[in-house]
Amino acid sequence: MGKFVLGIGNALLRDEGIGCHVAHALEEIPLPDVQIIDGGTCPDVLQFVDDTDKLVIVDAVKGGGTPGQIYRFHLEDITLEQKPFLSLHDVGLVDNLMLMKFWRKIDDIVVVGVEPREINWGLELSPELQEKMPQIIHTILSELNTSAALSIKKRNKVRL
Amino acid sequence: MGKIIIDPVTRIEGHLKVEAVVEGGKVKEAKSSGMLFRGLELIMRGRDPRDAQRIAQRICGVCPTSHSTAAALNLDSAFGIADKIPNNGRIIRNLILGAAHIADHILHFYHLVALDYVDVAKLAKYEGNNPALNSIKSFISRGELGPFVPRYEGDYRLPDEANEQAVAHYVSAFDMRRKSQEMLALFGGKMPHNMGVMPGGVASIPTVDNMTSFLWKLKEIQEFIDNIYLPDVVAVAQVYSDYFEIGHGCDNLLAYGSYELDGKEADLTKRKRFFKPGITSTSLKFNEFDPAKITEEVKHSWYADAISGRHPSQGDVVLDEEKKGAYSWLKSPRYDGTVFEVGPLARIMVNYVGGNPGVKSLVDSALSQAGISPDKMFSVMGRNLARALETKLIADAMADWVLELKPSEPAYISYELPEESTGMGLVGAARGALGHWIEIKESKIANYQVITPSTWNISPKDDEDQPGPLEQSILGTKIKDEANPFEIVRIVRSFDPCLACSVHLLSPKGRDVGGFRVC
Repeated sequence: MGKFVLGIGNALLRDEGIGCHVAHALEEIPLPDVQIIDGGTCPDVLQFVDDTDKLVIVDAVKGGGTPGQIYRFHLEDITLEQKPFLSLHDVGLVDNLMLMKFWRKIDDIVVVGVEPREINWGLELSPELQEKMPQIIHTILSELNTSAALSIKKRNKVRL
Repeated sequence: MGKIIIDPVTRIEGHLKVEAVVEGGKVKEAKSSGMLFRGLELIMRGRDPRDAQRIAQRICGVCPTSHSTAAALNLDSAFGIADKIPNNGRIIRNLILGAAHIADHILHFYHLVALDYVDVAKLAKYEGNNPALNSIKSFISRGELGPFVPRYEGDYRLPDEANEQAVAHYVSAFDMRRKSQEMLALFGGKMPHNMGVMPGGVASIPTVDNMTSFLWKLKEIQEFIDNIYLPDVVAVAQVYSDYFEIGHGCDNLLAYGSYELDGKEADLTKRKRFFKPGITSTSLKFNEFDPAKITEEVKHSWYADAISGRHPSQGDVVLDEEKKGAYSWLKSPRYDGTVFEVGPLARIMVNYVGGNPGVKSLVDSALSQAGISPDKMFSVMGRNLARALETKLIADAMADWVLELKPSEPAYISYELPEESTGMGLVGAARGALGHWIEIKESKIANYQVITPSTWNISPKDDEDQPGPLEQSILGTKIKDEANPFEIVRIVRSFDPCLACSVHLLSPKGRDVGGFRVC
């Protein structure tokens, strides 16, 4: 059974796209048995996830910390705002995870969140988040329990 | 007099907001607003034109394929190769767009619209032995109602058995969405942001193998559409026939046309397309469509009046955030100065009155099942019905298109990047007419403009103060209970609105993730 890393966010809105940037960075690392998905803002991303013992979700999280702050939690640990949805765009990650339980057996879902600095039009991450890239990647790799020998450099340039 | 505000903003920060002023039980004033500024055009400027393809599909997580198709058509025309795309490339683009289209419509009906008419909570009392229904029952009993509540309490009228059946279909629709995504990936590559569609054609080559798998999956989806999706939509339409009288809107429909049947004609308006371009209205007469007549007006949008009334190829982004009377980040696209609705309803009706025999016979048979006349299609239920009919038409056509592919022959033609050029890409996206325009100078993007279908439909009042299509649909609607305005919600959803997919970040209540810091 493979593991999954799902990066989500809007890559056109700078730090909001941290999940996508992390997914692309991970794709450059050889990780056998791990599927990396850049889910963007697709409400349907969980369709690309199969039964697994581990799903790591990478997303921007507004948790009140300083920009670049990394969080790690299970969805059961937190409460989120809920409102009725009006368009498909309102079908958020949490709804999808709930729906997921109908069709998939996922033993452990962990969210690795990163506090954004700037959510504004642009393709580049803010410097604080670029700086934090190696730690974010390390957090995910230890979550995946991978023994891949790695040297992760600071990423001053990020690309999609 | 009460004011209803439906504003999911706090959920995903900055989306569609609908305001309705109710007097004597009827909507007297309606405002629809896009609450997020879309700065995509600014990101594009100065970049390599070939990047447009990649960046444009990030506009939206629901419809990346429509944007990549529009961008590819736009770049084809700017690069002077619009009449040179190999047949394989043209057909595979149709298949990729069609697969996305089908997935999207099924998703919209079962996972959004159906919840307005089907009472999932009723399953708490389910006593049968359908495993899918029992899993929903246990889901509900654990209080895990995430996907289903909170909701606007509708008037649920389906009899118990039909209601249960619809919920079971909701579960199987998930599999169909997955199948159509897999079908798309056969030619489009990794989802959701596929790299398959590109200027010059597509990145993949048809093989007997991927054609066969495609057909196999398509066959299952066609069965679902014929035996489950269409009958469910018709069943809902019969029980809620009053919704053929609600939400009729601006009465004018516009379609750009989609699915290329001719690779040798560069002009998109002359090219033979499966759904042809055109305009129509409640008079049910067909008229030709001329893209030169599109303008964008900004009197009620947060942009400088100086850029109002321009054709999108001359469009610009100049902000005026303090503007009096402005209430939306969307501009108001108009055609020949008139308000037009776009979407599946427009495509179906334009082709119905335009004499497409396949469309005509399918629509006529659905109308007779629902017991209504063609003019009633201009309504909430008409939009839902048109969406389902279109899904069937596309799926059936795709089965023929796959067989027109020539295995191992090229699906792509190379091109040279011009120093100066302009382009236009018009396509019928799942939600309606989608247009991309580009201007290239010194081999860089000098200007890139996008008009999405929802910009047409959700647009605010224009320079003549004519309300947008959604606003007109809501005006005059009778509201039973202001605290629970499900009539408005049903109207809004029938348009399947899709604004710039914005922020997707998690906002925990009370910032309670503080205890989960890592480093």
